[in-house]
Amino acid sequence: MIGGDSAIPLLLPSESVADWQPVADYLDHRCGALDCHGDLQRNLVIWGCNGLRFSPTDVPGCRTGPNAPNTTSDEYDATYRSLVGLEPLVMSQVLTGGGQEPDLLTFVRKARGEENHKGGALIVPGDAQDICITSWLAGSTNATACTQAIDTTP
Amino acid sequence: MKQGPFFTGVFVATWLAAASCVDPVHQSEVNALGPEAAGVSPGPTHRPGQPCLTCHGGSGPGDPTFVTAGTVYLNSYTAGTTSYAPLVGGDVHLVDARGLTYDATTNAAGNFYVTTDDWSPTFPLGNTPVDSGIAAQPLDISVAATMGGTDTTPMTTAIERGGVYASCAYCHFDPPGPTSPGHVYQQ
Repeated sequence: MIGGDSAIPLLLPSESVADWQPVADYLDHRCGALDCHGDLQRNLVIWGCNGLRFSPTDVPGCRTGPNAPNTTSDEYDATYRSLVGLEPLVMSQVLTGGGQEPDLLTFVRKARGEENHKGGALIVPGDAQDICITSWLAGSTNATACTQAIDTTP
Repeated sequence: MKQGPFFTGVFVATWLAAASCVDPVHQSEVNALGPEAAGVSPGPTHRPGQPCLTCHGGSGPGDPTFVTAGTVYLNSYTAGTTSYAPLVGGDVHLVDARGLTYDATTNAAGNFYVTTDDWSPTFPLGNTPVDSGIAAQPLDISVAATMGGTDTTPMTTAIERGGVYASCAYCHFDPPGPTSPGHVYQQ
């Protein structure tokens, strides 16, 4: 709820590990490079091991191994807040509709190239990247699609 | 000769046109790079470690225009060290979004550059699009065979777009921290 006595009930997408982390990992991989959204000057800021780090002691670069300092919980949280905070009312409207109109959201339109985007049209409706995002907005993340999206894109 | 309002108008219009061609943001980025180092003239070995495409990205004042460029050093960042040995003769293996490749070699300063006349890649560099059917490939920076080395350091993220962003130093600057992995190095 936002706004005290005149609060507007807002629906927010899931931030659970199962639902959000596959999406966040995909966004970090695809959109979070330091020359793109891994930059604090962007409206949408993405944190993660591929780019911008949250802790002042971490540096960009994903590692392998059991104790590897990869994307942290702070980074997952920060990216979630950045994305959800872009258009919270529209986000709520999309979720109210069961995620059936994801392109009401600017970030979806930009990723699809339906709106001017410096990075160009990166996803095609129905591809693994698109399914990763839209399934999250629809309430049940398709983690397989997110993994596939990471494996098949720059 | 006394000049009338027409000449004054022409002068003002010309001045405004010239002034409007200057991008103050770009100009401030160029100015921030400072003067040339003592004893080094503008050329292939000048300004190692700086973001080359600030000047050579198409908005001037550098000529030629680069697709991508940067400096590669032998070793990684060490606190307290301000000067690093360049990687001379290193092979920078670039792959564009279509899977087309280009190899550049680092010079005596560790600099490499690819001009727009040399190569016209499709960004992002370093990997391939969803529908290309080509396996994902990282950028590679490796020692040239002529040096007898085989060490390769792959870059795991792509260079998403051109212009100043395609300078190594746009992302890779010292010291390493949350916004930079530090300068590019080979070993």
